[in-house]
Amino acid sequence: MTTHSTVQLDALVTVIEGKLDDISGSVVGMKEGIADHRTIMVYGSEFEGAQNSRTDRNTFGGGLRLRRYVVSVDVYSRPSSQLDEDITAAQQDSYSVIAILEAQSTSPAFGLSGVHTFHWTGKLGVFPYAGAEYWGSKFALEFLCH
Amino acid sequence: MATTQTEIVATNCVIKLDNAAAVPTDISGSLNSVTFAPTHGVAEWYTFSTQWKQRRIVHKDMPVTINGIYSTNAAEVAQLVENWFFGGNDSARTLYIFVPDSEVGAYVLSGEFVLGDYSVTPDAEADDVVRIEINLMPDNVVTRSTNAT
Repeated sequence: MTTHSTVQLDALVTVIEGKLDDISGSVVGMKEGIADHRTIMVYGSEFEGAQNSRTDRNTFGGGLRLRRYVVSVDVYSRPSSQLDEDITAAQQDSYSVIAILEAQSTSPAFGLSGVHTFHWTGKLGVFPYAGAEYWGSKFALEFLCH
Repeated sequence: MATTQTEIVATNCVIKLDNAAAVPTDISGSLNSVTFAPTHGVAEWYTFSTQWKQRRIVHKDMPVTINGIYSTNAAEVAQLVENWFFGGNDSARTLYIFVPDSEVGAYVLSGEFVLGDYSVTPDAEADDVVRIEINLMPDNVVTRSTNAT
């Protein structure tokens, strides 16, 4: 019989941070500012208590509550300066993140029991922070959890 | 006109179905909707001397559709129904539907039901758990009563 433990959002963020730490030269996690490049921020950004339900439950009596979490991964590659180098750096960093996401081909994704499904989207772009502009990429990792 | 003060919601409905040992098993925790449809079979005819159709109630029926979560626990709806279908004993089992909950005073529909069909559609591209839809049909009388215990 398959059983699922309950996934906590902080555990999910921590395990994703751990995977992204594999990108060499990265500073991963919530920092006070962008002191080093590349800086990767990982945080929970969207939450839903019972996926596809208009109440707080997915079964009678609240037996099952499917949680939907979106974890954001913001990659600040380098401040805007030389366009070709900026885009190249942002692109390379996005490839590194994508490689880690695509490595999650076995269930449960990120090795966390209770993660049912995993879907991600990402985009390259210029992102403002503290009065400066940075080339980088932003990913949204969407999870359906027990 | 009085405004109703007794409307209900369905979040705590309770559904019980016998397992193979004829023990009523609470499967509510793996179900998310139930549809019961009391239906009359109606005989119709015309006679000379009137333009109006005449009708009489002939029989009663109450098919039930339940939608649940496909899980692997033997005491939850999916395995209970699969074991019923493949278990070699197709006899009717008792189904109880408590509305809006199983507290004293709630309404209870109960009767013996046979398993008509069920469907499961695993989908690798769905960001959802696997679900199961089951159609049950009563064998003989369905009763409606008030829960006393």
